[in-house]
Amino acid sequence: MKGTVTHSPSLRLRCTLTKALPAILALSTTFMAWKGLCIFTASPNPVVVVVSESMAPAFHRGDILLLWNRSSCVQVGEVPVVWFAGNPLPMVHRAVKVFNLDCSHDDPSSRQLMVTKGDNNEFEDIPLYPAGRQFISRDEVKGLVTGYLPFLGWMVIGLQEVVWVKYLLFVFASYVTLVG
Amino acid sequence: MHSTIVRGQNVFGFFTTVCFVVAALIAASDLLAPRTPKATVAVKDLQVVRGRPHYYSTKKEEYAIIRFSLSADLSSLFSWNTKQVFVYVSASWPNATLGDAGKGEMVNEAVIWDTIITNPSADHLQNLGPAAMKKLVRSAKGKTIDPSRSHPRRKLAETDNMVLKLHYNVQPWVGLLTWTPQIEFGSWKKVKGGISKTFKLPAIKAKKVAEKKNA
Repeated sequence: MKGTVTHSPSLRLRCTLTKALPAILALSTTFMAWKGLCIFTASPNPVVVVVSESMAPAFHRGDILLLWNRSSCVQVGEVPVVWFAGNPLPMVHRAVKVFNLDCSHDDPSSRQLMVTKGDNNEFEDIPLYPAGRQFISRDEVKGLVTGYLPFLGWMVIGLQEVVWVKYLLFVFASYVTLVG
Repeated sequence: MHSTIVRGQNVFGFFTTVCFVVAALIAASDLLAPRTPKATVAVKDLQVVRGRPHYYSTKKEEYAIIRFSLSADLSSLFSWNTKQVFVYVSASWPNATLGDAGKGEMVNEAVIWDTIITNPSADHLQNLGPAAMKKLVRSAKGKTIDPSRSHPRRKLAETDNMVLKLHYNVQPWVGLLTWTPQIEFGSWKKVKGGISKTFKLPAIKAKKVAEKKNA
């Protein structure tokens, strides 16, 4: 029986699946690490990339910010990341006014109100808030900026804005995992 | 095992590891540099006026005009990993609606003045470049202070127990952002001074003054 390897379709499928396993493993490990970070920082977006210059010279386009969301109240001078429902991108601006209204209130949106302003902007952000809004509430803050890594975010911006980089990387990754 | 791709992957992997280790070491070196800032904040003049936030607004709000003098030495905050220091003075006051429970930490706080110091030699605000100096002078005289602008109750007159505080935020080239420490931490000391005496805002000033200020 030795040497008579039959290439039945099921065996070939099994071979392909075995080869694909490392790729699936890499993807799921990354996903689990991301979700673990979400739980650790209590933020739905523990890492964000800066896409505008409104906080220059502190943060420039392409910098990576690490967030932390475990403090119950925001202090003035801290930099909350605010993501309004329906907006494509989050806003990373400094909190300049903080009003603690009623911390024992049942509704988290009426416990604390704040106003933000970009360091590089002349005015407060009120025109950038959804129509009619004067404040941000604590539950709209997705995290406070605590860590800073320069330049690394250009990889993400490159992936998002230069389409062929994405395809090139995909082709390269599948080549490495399946052939290499 | 020894294909070009594998070698390339190994080299790139080693490169990123080295980068992250060096970045972590630089970030950790912040803890070695002592921080001993000192400052004095003193209130010079107080006014409360009524005005409108913008031309078409029908609602009137109360604006506090706080003139203060600040003298600070923040030179110890600058180390080789300091990208900028964001310095700000805030006014904080207890929440009147909460009564006694509003005292302590549960206060309203608003930044009334801020500046960015990027240059280590600019730590005394004397050696600033022309553009930064222009911005600083404008921020120091122009932005009359209006913590009420968006205060939910739109009222500020005769607010008691108000206090001015100096804060700073050190932005590193890489690593963790740090704010004015609440506790002494290793060689990082609290700001020496940096808090004004508590004061009470006066009653609303005559209308004539209000119009002049908002013009």
